Amino acid sequence: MPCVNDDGSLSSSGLTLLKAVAKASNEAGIQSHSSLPLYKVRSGLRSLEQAGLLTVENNIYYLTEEGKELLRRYV
Amino acid sequence: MENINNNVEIQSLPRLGEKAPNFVAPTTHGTIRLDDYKGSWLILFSHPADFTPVCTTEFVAFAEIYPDLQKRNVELLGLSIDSVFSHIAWVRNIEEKLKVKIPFPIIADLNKDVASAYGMINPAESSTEASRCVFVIDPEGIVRAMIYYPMSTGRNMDEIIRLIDSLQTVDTHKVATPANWRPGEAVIVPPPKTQEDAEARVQQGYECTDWYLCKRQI
Repeated sequence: MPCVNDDGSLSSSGLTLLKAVAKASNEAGIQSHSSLPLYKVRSGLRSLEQAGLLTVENNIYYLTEEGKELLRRYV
Repeated sequence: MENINNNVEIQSLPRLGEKAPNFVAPTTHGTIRLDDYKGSWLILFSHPADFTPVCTTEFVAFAEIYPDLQKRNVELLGLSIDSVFSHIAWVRNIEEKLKVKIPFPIIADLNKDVASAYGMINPAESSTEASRCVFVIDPEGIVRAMIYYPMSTGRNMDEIIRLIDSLQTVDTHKVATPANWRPGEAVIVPPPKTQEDAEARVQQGYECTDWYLCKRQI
């Protein structure tokens, strides 16, 4: 269950995480909003970052324009 | 002394109290690193192969104790020398045939990187499959316990939970736990290190069989 599928679409946990990043910017807040286990939050955020959907700076996560656009399509 | 073939790579095993070997591995939940578990306890366990009977009963049993482990801030991570596709097919088969969902990820260790780093392969038993190993890794990434079972014997989930309870109690209260200890039972006070401490110990109201074996409730 990777967060981003090979075709660029989001898995359900990927979408959950992307929504959580729209509400919170640090790891603890994202975990709280996603209700996912911490390991899943960390591995998922890494996967979303590699897909260019978010960036991280000083442990603060930001949606990229691509991430925001993808989220708009799903919500 | 046995002759050692120069072509055989001698792997060092993880040792209790040392940092667990780091890894980045493909799993049924995507790529996972050991560091992703920092802050949680982790039970990393291996099984010989997917679609085998003892392993199937173990996976059902691990899934059944997963909620109890989560209450203890413990995550589960399985491993075998099979592909992600095999893992996915097996997990789906377990769900279909046994009505049990496997909620934790499983490492697909086809190149044996993780199994080798953790000494999960015992060539005298099998050089192509991992034995039934359990590594308990604490929130700081330290190996705190290791259990090895042969392929023929399924693991005991009660003992795994008991082990976690003991380790967490030991950390919280700076005590030790006696044989067959269960939560709620008396724990062992560390033995005194000086004669003065030993004499004081028996005055301190502990339940002492002798100065070196004292218990208390927590």
